[in-house]
Amino acid sequence: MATPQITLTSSDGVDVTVERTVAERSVLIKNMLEDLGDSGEAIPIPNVNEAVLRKVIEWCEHHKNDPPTAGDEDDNRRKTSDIEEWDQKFMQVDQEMLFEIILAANYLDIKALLDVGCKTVANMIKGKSPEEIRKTFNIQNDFTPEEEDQIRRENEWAEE
Amino acid sequence: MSKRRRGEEVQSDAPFSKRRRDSTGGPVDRLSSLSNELLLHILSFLPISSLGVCQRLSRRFNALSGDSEIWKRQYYTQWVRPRARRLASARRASSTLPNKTEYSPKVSTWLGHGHLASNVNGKATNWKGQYRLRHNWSRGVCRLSEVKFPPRPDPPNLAKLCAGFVFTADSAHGLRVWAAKDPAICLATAPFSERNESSKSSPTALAVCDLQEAQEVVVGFEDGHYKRYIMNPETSQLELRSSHAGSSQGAITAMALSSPYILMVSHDKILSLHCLDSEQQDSAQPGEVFHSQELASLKADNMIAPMTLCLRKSTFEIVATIVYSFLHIGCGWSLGIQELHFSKDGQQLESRLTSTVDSQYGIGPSRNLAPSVRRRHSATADPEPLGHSSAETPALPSILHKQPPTSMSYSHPYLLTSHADNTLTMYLVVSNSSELFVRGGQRLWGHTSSVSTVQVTNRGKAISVGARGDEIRIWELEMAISSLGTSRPFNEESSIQVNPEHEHKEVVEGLGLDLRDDYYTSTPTPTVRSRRREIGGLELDSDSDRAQESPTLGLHECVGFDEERVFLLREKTVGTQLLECYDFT
Amino acid sequence: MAAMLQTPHKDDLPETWSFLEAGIDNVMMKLEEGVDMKHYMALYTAVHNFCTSQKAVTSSQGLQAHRGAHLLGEELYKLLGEYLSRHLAVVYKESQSHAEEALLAFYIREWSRYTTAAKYINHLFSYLNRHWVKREIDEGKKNVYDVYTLHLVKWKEDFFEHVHEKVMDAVLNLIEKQRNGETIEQSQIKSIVDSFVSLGLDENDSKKPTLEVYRTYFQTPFIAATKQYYENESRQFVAENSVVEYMKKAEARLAEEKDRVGLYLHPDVTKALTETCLDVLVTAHSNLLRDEFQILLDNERQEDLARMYRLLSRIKEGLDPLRATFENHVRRAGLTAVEKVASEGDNFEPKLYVDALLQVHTRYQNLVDEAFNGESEFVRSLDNACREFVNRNRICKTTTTRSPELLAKYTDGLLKKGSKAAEESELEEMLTQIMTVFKYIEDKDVFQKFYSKMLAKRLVHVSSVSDDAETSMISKLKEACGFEYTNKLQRMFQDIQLSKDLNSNYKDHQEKTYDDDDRKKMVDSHFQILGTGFWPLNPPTTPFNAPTEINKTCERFQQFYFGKHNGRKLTWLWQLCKGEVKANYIKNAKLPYTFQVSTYQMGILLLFNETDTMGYSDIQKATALGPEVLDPNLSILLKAKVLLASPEGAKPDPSTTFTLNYNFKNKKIKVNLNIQIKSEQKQESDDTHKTIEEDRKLLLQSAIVRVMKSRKKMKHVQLVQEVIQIVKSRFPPKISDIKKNIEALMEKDYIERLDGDEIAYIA
Repeated sequence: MATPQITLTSSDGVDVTVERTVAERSVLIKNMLEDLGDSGEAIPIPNVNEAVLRKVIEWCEHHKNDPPTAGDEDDNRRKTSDIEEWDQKFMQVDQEMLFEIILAANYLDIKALLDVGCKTVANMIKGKSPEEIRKTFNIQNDFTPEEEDQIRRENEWAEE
Repeated sequence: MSKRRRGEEVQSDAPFSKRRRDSTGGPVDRLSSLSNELLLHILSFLPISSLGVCQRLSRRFNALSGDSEIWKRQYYTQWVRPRARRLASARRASSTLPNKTEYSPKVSTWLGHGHLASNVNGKATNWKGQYRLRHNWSRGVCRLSEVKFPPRPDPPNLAKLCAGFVFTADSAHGLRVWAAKDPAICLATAPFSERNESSKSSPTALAVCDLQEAQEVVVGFEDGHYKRYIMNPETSQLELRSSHAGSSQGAITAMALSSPYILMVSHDKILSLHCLDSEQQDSAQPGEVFHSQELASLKADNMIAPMTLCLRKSTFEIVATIVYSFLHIGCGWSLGIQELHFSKDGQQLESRLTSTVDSQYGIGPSRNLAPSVRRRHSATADPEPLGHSSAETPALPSILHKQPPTSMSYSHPYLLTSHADNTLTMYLVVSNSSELFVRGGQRLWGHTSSVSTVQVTNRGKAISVGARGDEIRIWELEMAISSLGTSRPFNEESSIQVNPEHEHKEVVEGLGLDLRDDYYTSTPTPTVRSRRREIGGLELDSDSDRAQESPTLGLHECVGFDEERVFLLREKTVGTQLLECYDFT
Repeated sequence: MAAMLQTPHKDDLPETWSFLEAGIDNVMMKLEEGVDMKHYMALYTAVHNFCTSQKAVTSSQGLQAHRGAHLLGEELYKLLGEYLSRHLAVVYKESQSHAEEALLAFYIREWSRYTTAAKYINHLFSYLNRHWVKREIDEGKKNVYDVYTLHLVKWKEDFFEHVHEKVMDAVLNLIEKQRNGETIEQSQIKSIVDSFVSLGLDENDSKKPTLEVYRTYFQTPFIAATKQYYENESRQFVAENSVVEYMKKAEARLAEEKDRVGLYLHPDVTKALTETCLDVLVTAHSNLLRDEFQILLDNERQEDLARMYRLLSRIKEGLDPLRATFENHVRRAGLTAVEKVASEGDNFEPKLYVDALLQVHTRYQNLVDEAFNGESEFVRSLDNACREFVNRNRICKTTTTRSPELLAKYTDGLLKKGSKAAEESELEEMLTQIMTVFKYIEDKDVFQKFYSKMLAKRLVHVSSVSDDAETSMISKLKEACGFEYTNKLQRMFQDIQLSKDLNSNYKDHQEKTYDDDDRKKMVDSHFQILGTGFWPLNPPTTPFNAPTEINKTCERFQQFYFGKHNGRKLTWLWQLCKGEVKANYIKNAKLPYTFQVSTYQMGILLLFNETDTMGYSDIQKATALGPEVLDPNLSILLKAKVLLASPEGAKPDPSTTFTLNYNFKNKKIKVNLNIQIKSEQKQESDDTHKTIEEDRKLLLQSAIVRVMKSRKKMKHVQLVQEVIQIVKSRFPPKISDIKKNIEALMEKDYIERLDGDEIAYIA
C-alpha cells in the first residue's frame, strides 16, 4: 500500500477512512499527527458533520498532488475570477453547503479550499447593487435611510 | 468582557455540526453569521467598487468593508506594486536582483510609503482615506475653496505651505498663518513693523522649514535684512525669534532654508549662507537686530533670472545649489547648475558646475560628454563659461527654448522648468561624490496654454499652473524617468488636470472681521510700485533683461502643495488676490 | 465510538478558559503521560469556537468605520500569557533550591519541558495565531507574538531574567573545571547555549532570530571569564617554566579553545574567543617571546622558532620586531663564514668563497621556508642580510668588486673543460646556485666584465664543458638582468657557431678549388671570425712575421672570406692562435713527437727547419716579435728542452744562442708547450678592473645625457636621483661620481648649469 490510511470521525459519529496525505491537506490534522503520532485511533472532528466532511475530503483527494501554496500572500490569488473549472463545479452547491464548506475549511485549516470558498462568495457579491446582495444573502438593512445615503455619498468616488 | 448574549445567537451555542434550522421561520442570513475574520477574507477578494457597495449593506458590513487592513492591501496593489515593479524591472536591467513585489503587511518595507506606517503615536493610518487621497490625486479630483485678500496688497503676498499650514507674508499684514484644512481661518499673525521701527520694508522672500515640533519661518526683506519666526502648532502662536542684517543692502530675492542653515541671494547678486544658531539666540529680545553667523558670502554676477536655490544637509556637509538660466548660442535658454559644498562651519569645500546643454542636444547621460567643471576653494560662485565641444554635438538641439523659462523648480534630483510654449522640461540632476551632471532632458506635454509656474517635490510629484491660472496639472515624474534619454515621448497620460469637484467655490473673505479692522487701521494708502510683474499674466515676449530685473517674485513662489492639498496664490481680478486651496481628501 | 468530549460554550470566556487551562496544564506538566486525540481536538476546537463566536458584535456607534473589523482572541491571548507567567513563577521558585550543575540540569529539564509544551500549545492555539495574532502584527502592533514566540518571550521575562546570572556562573564553573582538566557533561552547556540562542528575538520581526540574548548573557560573561582564567594561568606558567614550554602551552590552549567552539559553543563566539585568547596568551607575553628569539636562532631550534612564528603571526604586528633580529643574525652568520675563508690566506679557491656564501643562504632560506612559512617579509629580511654580507665582507674590504670577480671565476671553473662537476644535472644545479649569489651582487657590471673575458677564452680555446651549459648560464643571466646585459655574451656565442659553418663551407670551397696534391701540401686549419665590438679582445701587442706556411694558409682563407663578405677587415689575433707541429728530427723516437704550440712558438720553432742553431737577434729579426713576448716563449722552449741555450743555462737575451735538441725526450708523445704565462694572468685581471672604471664612467654619462635629453631642464638633485635609478641594476653608483660626470659633460657642452641649481640640455 502506497500510503497509510487514517480514520476520521465526523461530529455525527460516522467514521471516514482516508489516505493520510489527503487528510494532511488540513494543517490541523497534519499538526496533530505530528504532535501525537498516528496511534491508529480514529481522529475526532467535532465541528464537521459527515456530509460536509465527505465533501471536504473529495476536494482534498482531487488536490492531493497540488504543490504547497507558494507564499500565502500571492497576489494572483486575489483575482476573484481565478477559480479553476473543477473547483467551480465543486462549489456548485446550495448556499448552506457552501458556507459549511467555508466553515469547515477554516476550522480544519485548509487554506486553498477556504480561498476557493471565499472567492465563490465574493463572486456572488461582485457587480451587484446593495439591494441585490441583501436579497442574495438575506441581509437585514439596519441603516436609517439618511445613514445609508450618507454612506453612498461617501463612497461615490470609488464607483467605476 | 461582555456577558453571553442570548437571543438570535442561542442556536449557535451548539457546535457547527448541528446545522441551524430555520426555526425562526425567516430565511437565514448565513453570510452575516460568519465570523469577522472570514468576512474580511471574503471582502479581500473584492474590487474597491464592490467594497463601497458592501459598506451600504448594513452596519456590520459598513465597518468590515471599510477595514483598514483591506484598504491597505488595496493601496498596495494600486499604488505601490506598479511602482515596485517598474523599479524592479529597471533594476533588473542592470543587476540580477530578484523581483520581489509581493504584498507584505509591513508598510515600512513599501517603497517610499514608510511614512504611512507611523502609527507609533497610537494614531492608526486611515488606509481608506489614504487610498482615496491617492485616487483623487490620480484623477485631479478635488474641492476648491478660496480666500480673498481685498484689496490687492502691494507687493503681493508671498505664500508657502508647510506641515499643514499656509504661511503668507505681505507688507500690510506681516506674516500670517492659515490652517491648510480650512484656509478661512487665520491662526496667527505677526506684523512686520513694530511700533518702535520707523522704517518699513516689504517682504521679498519667504522660506519655511519643518522642525517636527514647530515650524521655522524666515522672511527676507527689501532692504536686505531678514527675520526668523517660530510657529508653535500646539498654541498656534507665531513668535519672532530674531532679526538679522543681511549680507548686503540689496533686497533678498531668493531663499532656501534647511534649519539651521539659510541660503539667500540678494538683488545685488550676493549669495550668502548663514547659520541660525538657535541655542545662541533664543535668549535674544525679539526685534533686536542681529548679525547672524554668516558662514559664507559669494558674489555671483553671472546669474541670470529666473533662478532657484536649494539647500541640502548631509551628515558632513551642506550642499547649496543654484540653478539659473542663461542663453546658449546653440540651444537657446539653458540652465546652469552650480553646486557649492560647504562644511558645517561654512568652509567651502568644493564647487561644481554643469548645465543642461548636453541634455538639450540629446547627448546621452555619458559622463565624458557632460563633465562637471570642478574647482576647489574658489573664491567666487560665478559660473564659468559653460563649454561644450561643438565637434560632438549634433547640429540641432532636441530641446530648444527661444524664450527664458517662466519658472523653475529644483528638488533634488528633479529639475523642472515651465515655458510659454505650453510645455514643461524635466531634467534629472545626478550629484554624487565624484561628479555632477544632468541626465536626460524630457519635454512634458499636456498643457494647452502657456505654463507660468511649476513646483516639484523630491518624490517626483509636480504641479504646474497655466498662465491664465485655470489649468493646473499634476505630474508623477517617477514614471518619466524610465523614458529619459530615449526618444520615446513621455506618456501624456502621466499628467492629470486638476478638476475641482464642486464648482460652488467657498469664497471666504480672507480676513477675519477683527483682522479686517486691523487692516484698515494699520495700512497706509498703498503706494503703487509697478515693478512687480502681474502674476498669471506674465508677458511672454519679455526680453531677458526684464526677467533679470525681478528674478524672484514669479508665481512659483506662490504655489505649494503637500500630501493632501494644492495652494495657489494668484490674482483673479485686478485688485484682489486669491489664495486657492485644492483639497484632494 | 467514544463520546465527543464536551467542549465549552463558545462565547463563555470563563468556561472556555478554565477548559483550556486544564488542557494546557496537562500539556505543560504531564505531557509524558500523553495527550489523546480527543483532548487535542477538543482544545483546538474550544479556541476555534471562541474566536468565531461573534460575541463582540461590531459596535454600532457612528458610521466611521475605517478601523474596521474587530477580531476575537485578545482575551485568550492575555489569559495564556498570565498562565505562562504563573507557571514560570513556580519554576523560578523551584530553581532557587538548586545551584551549580544541579541548577543547569534543572534549567535544561524545565526548558525542554516548556519548549515542547510550547510547540503543542502553539498548534492548539493555531486558530488564534492565524487570525487575531496575524492581524495585530499586520497592523504594526508591538508586543504581540505568535503563541510559540509568546512562550519564549515569557520565559525570557519571567524566568530567564531572574536566573541567567546564576546559570552562567554554573556554566562558567563547569568550563573552568574542564580547562583544569576535569571531565564534564558538555551536553549541558550545549543545551544552555541553544536555549540562550533561541531566546534572541528580533524586535521588528519575531520570526527572525537574533543572537542578541546569547551575546549579552552568554558570550560576554564567558569571554570575561576566559580572559581572567588565562591571565592567571599564563602568568603563573611563565613564572615557573621556560619560554619554550610556555609556547607549547599557549599553542595547546589556543587549539583547545578552538575545539571548544565546535564541541558546545555557538560559532558566533569564535572571533571574540580567539581574539581574547590571543590577547591574553600571546600579546600579553609577546615581549617575553621575542626575547627568546635570538637564543632560539643561536641554537637553531627550528621547531621552536616555527612555534614562535605561528603564535606571533596571529597577533597584530607580532612579527615585526623579529625581522630586524633575524636580518642581523643572518648577516653576522654570513660575515663569520667569509671571515673563515679569508683567514686561510689570499690564495683561496673561488669555490670556497662562493660555497661559504651559499651555505649561509641555504641554511636560512630553509629556516624561512620551514619555520616561517616562507613569509614574504622574512624572505625580504633574508635578502637584505644576504645582500649585505655578499657585498660587504672582509674579502671585499680591499676592492668591493671581489665578490663578482670571484663568482665569475668560480663560474668559469665550472664551465671549463676538466672541471670536477662533470654530471650535467649537477652542473645545472650549481649554475642555479651561482644565480642565487649573483642576485645579491650589487656590482653586476663587474661580474659581466669578468664573465665575458672568461667566456671569450673558453670559446676561443674551445674549452667549454658544453654548449648547453653555456647557453643555460647566459639565459639565466638574461632572465635576471635583461637582454642588454647578455647581448654581447650571446653574440660571442653566435660568432663561434657561425665560424663552425664558415669552416665547413671553406672546406667545401677548398675541395672544389684545389686538387688533391695541392691540398696535401696545405696546413690543416680552423678559423674563428670574432666580431670586434662584442669580444673583450685586443689586437696583438707585438708585431709578428708568421711562418710562410701559415701566411699562405691565411691568404687563401682571406681570399675566400672577402669573396663572401666584401669590405670587411680581418685582424689576425696571433696571440690567441695555436697549432701543432710534428718533430720528425728527433733521434731515438719510435713515433715523432707532436708539440702543441702557440703561433709565436711555432714561428720560432719553424725557423729551425733551415738551421740547427740560431742566435737571439736572428730569431728576433726573423719573427719580428718584441722581447716581452719572445723572451718568455724562448724560456718555455728552453725549459722543455726543445731548444738548448748556449752558454748552457743562459736566459734568453741577445748574447744567447739556441740549438735544436735532437735528443729531446718526453713521456708523452703530445707535448703541450702552449702554457699561459703567469704575468699575463695578473695583467689581465688588472686590465679588467681598469675597464670597469672606464665603462662605468661611460654608463653614467650616457644615463645623464639620456635623462637630460628627455627632460630638457631639471634640478641637479633630481637628475642625480634619476641617474641612480637607471644605473642601479648594474652597480651602486657613488654620488660623487655622478657629480663628476655631470661636470665632465658640462665641459663637453652637452649640458649647462642654469640659475637655481638647474641644469639644461644643450641640443
